[in-house]
Amino acid sequence: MSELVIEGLHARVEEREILRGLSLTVRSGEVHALMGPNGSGKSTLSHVLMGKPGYEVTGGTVTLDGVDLLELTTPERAAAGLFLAMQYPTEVPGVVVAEVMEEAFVATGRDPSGVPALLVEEADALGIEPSLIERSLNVDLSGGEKKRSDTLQMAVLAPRIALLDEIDSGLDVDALRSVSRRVELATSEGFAGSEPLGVLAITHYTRLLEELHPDFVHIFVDGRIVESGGPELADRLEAHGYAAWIN
Amino acid sequence: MSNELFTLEASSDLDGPDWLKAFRASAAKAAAGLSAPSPELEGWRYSRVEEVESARHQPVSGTGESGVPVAVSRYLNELGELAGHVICVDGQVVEISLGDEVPDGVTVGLADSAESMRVGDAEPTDAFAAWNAALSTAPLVISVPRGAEIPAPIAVFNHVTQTEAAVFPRLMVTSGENSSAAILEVFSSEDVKSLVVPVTGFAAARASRINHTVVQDLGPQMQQIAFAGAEVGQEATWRSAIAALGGDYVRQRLDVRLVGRGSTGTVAAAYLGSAKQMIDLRTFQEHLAEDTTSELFFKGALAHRSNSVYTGMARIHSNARGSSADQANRVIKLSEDAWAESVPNLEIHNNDVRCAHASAVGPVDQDQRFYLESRGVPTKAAERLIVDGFFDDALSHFPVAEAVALVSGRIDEELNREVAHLEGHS
Ligand SMILES: Nc1ncnc2c1ncn2[C@@H]1O[C@H](COP(=O)(O)OP(=O)(O)OP(=O)(O)O)[C@@H](O)[C@H]1O
Ligand SMILES: [Mg+2]
Repeated sequence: MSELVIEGLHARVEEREILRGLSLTVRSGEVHALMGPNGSGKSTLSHVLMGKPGYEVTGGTVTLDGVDLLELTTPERAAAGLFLAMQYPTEVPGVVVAEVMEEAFVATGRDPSGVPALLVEEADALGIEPSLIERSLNVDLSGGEKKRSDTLQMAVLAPRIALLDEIDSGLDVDALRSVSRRVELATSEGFAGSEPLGVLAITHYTRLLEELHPDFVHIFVDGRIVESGGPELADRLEAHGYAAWIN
Repeated sequence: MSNELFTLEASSDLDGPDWLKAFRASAAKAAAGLSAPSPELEGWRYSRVEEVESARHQPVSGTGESGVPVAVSRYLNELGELAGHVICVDGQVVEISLGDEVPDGVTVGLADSAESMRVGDAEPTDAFAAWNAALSTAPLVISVPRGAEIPAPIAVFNHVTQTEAAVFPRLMVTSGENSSAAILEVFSSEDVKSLVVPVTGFAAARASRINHTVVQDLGPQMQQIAFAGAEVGQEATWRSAIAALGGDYVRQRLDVRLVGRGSTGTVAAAYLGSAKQMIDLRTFQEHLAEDTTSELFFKGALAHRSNSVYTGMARIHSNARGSSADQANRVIKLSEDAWAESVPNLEIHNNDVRCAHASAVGPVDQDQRFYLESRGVPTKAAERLIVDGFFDDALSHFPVAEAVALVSGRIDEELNREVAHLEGHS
């Protein structure tokens, strides 16, 4: 059983406080949806959790299975089982996914020799063209292809907790379904016998929620969660917008 | 105006057939009349040309020995299938070999007339290149007749073994209509302190295709001032690339003149600086006819206190309607002490054209590093992947495939040496 525990998190970017006392716990097998207006700080949260440079944590704690995440470097956080699918995956010219996965395996003492086969298998499950995995990471990939590629990497890396920042943006209907299915499978069965995956999915659309079946929906406004509930919360949001939560 | 980079006597002392002596004598007079390059001059700005003490370097012609240097044998092994090769040591030919698959009429050998010494209208105008004409001891010619297609590259090796020597490699390549050829030049040396002043000229006739790659793998104390120029005819294509790996102060000027309608000229470069090396790259993309295309794709990485200069000019003349020019130079600084100048320029005299330029100098991209780190790749490994990928991207633009493994292997070796340094810098 894994547990990502965020308590009273405050963080700043460029002297501006973006996260203002955010608390949230994500456990193995749980799917949490985080919904909030543009610019409310959702991606900032995902970056702060993964340790992106340029963000200053000014208060609160984050632990993964009791380990203080904020004390770890980004690769150490990944090795501890955290994964981030970014809203805007970065282009890395000349670097292909296999070598990245292999380096990540080596860093965590896993045997990298199975990576190519695993990539082919997972790509197939996600409906990814085999030629896509030979290409430079995210370079000249369409929006949807980038999201699929990030999902593929998640599946190969087999994290404990995945932060999915708008994984649904740019995906066509079929891709949304195959990506959601892959994530769901991981949340129920884990990766190759490991514990089930815990997910924090940032999204604007109920469409993803219909596919992903979240256990919890959180409304995120102005750097903190203002209300948490079940899927019915997303329906309220869909019908009335954020007005009720914005003062 | 004049210069004393080298002397008229040095030229007249050289052996050769009468026509060559006469050619050299007039070339020497012309060279001596040109002003000496200095960093005050456009085209030499930021350069370290004043450190080139040409007077200390003795023009040489051969070693007296005839063997193939070990270093060159090693390249030959690494390069795989070649259609032929020429090996020059200290400015003297020690071996010429041409495979059976080379079509009839292809010539590879020493120049045999004053006419064959000409580089065409891409004739260099700077003093060093002019002195090359006066001091070249073994000017080579490769000519590919109309319609001939050479199935594998022809490689020309220039290796320097003596210290305080000046060597003036010269190569003129002509391709007849509808012919195709790949030319590979490798410059190497023992660990000596000498000067190499190469001039390479190309004349590509209508619808011919020339691929060209330079591997500059000189020893760490070497200086080089190189010129390569191409004149590209109608519907012809000239693709060139430079791997600048070794040397101390190394300069390469590259001129492509697109004189025929629908002609294409592309240049790529991968350069890697270390210690206090300077890599000095100057390019000219001249569009002189309609529907011409040029593309420049340069990538460099600088370690330690090394530095690089790139200045490039893409000039579209008024009669070059429908042309397109691209310039991109990107430099990764692996150390805070490294510096780079990157100055692409465009000069456009026709409105119906498409031009783009990009220039970037900076450390390993922070977002790229974070992306890889977020997958669990440790910082050092992430930087290494990014730099390797950066060069792979440049090498994918290299037109002579046979040279790519050699270059990427050499880049790997260099980067492995830099790893300790990368580790201490982020
Ligand atoms: N590096 C930065 N410098 C300055 N401001 C920043 C930086 N990063 C984020 N911000 C600001 O922080 C706020 C929160 O941005 P964030 O990307 O977290 O929003 P978001 O909730 O993910 O929005 P969206 O739904 O549009 O993706 C925004 O106002 C944004 O402009
Ligand atoms: Mg966002």
